[in-house]
Amino acid sequence: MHDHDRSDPLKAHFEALKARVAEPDAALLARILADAEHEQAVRAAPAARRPRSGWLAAPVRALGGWPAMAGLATAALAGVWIGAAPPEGLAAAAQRMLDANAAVLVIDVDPDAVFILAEGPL
Amino acid sequence: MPFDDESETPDAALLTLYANGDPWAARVLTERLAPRVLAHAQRLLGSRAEAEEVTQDAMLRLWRIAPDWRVDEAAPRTWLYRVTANLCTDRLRRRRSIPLDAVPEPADGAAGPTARLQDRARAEALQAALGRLPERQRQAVVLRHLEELANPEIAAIMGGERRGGGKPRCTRQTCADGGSLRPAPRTGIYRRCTIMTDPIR
Repeated sequence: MHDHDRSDPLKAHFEALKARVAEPDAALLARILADAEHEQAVRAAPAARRPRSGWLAAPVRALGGWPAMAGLATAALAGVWIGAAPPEGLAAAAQRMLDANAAVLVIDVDPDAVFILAEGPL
Repeated sequence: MPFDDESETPDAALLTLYANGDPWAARVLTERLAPRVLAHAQRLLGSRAEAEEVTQDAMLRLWRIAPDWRVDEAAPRTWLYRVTANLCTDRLRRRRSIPLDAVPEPADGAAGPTARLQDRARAEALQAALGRLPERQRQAVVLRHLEELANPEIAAIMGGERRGGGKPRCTRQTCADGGSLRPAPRTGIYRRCTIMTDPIR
């Protein structure tokens, strides 16, 4: 019997059991990493559409959000545009966004009210 | 090439990087955490095959929670230990006894055949004794004496379900009642020993 058996009879047992745990093999690591990549891909899929909504979000917010956009779309259908002379109430942020030679045209091209906000010279 | 080239990066930071799409972070986290999860599951379950399934499942849950991880939450390692224990508990409750898989013997060129046999007998005896302990006591012993975690982390891992006051505390004593570890018949050289944890009230 070793010395450590006399001082702590369980020490040898714990050391023996600790030594028996094998490291993850390559197959297990590969499965875990495949899961990780899959989860990233799942999350990346909706994220890929973000630039489009991000591009719209700022002017939409500046114009008062989607309720205001709905009103603008109705106006656009009636042939009204906003641009070089922003109407009263347009947020200052939106005014900063527009340079002197640019205009904002709101076109309702979709019966389901999908808005396209295009920017260009009048 | 080892995954964990940036060993100083905290686990929580790596998890944030992973959530932001960094594939390198997943590799480092896997190399850093999967061995611990596997070891913990294997010690709780006594089965290598089941432990591997639990490890993959626990890591998958980590990947899925990554986007919602808050920096003020428990460390990912602590969270993983908790998830692993819960997954193991679910499996243990679905079976009555713990089969002892043939666990690969560690490569040890220095130990002779007799020493290896003795170590194997000791490991199997202890694993069997752990299997006879109640689940939470088993977890406490494994966390303290096999994973060698400090009491605060053990409390964080087990705290969610702990009843009553006091930290989980586990001690080793000989010749006491409780989950007993008796001499392995093949060797017969051990005194009667006992794994004893204080009852978690």
